[in-house]
Amino acid sequence: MTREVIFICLSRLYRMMWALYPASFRAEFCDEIMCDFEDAADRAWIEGGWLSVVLLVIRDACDVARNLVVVWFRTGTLTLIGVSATCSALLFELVALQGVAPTNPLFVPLHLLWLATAGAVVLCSIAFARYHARSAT
Amino acid sequence: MASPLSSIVLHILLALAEGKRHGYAIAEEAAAQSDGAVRLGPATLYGTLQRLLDKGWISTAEAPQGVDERRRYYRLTSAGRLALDAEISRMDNLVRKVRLARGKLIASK
Repeated sequence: MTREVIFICLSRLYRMMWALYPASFRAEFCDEIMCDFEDAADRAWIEGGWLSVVLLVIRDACDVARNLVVVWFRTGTLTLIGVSATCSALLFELVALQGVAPTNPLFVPLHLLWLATAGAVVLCSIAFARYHARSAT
Repeated sequence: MASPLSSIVLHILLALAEGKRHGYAIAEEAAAQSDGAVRLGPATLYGTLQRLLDKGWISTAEAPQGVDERRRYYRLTSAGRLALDAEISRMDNLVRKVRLARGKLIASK
């Protein structure tokens, strides 16, 4: 396989990884990231051949995966989806709990579970708010 | 009192303290400053640059002529310089205290 073919295949694969990121992030940084990758891949090829280029892609893929959730949370979209979904689930659970008779042995555990989940949602929301407030440090 | 900067933010600000650089040059400088200990992957680097741009600690700068036009250059703002100065003072202070403690430890032996 020639160098050009390897580079074209890996560049396409590399660009595809970034499709997982928010559109706003890609619009702002994708061109720069691809430019950096081309430079880094050139250097890796000179230093260690195709294996070094593949290792570079793997290392960057790990970095992409590690930061994926953080970047999505920063856009606020994932936080909003998560909180909305949990609140909806809690609401449905509360309605369903109305059908459980107080004499049912599961009455107390189910209500406690509901309270614990609601508390966890509140704590997570506070944690995310704090994270956003000090995300740059 | 401001909370300590993460090592990634510190290395990015330090890399830009000498002048404007593009993303790849920032990552290379951070690796050089830390003897290879800090390796900034693209997601870490650009995620942090985005946060620093949002905070106003860095801004984009005009690229020199002849450079690939896809590249953007970044430079420190006065707010970024203040944050870096504050962090350097904090670290200086910490090192002084550590040296003092080490001196006492040696004297007590």
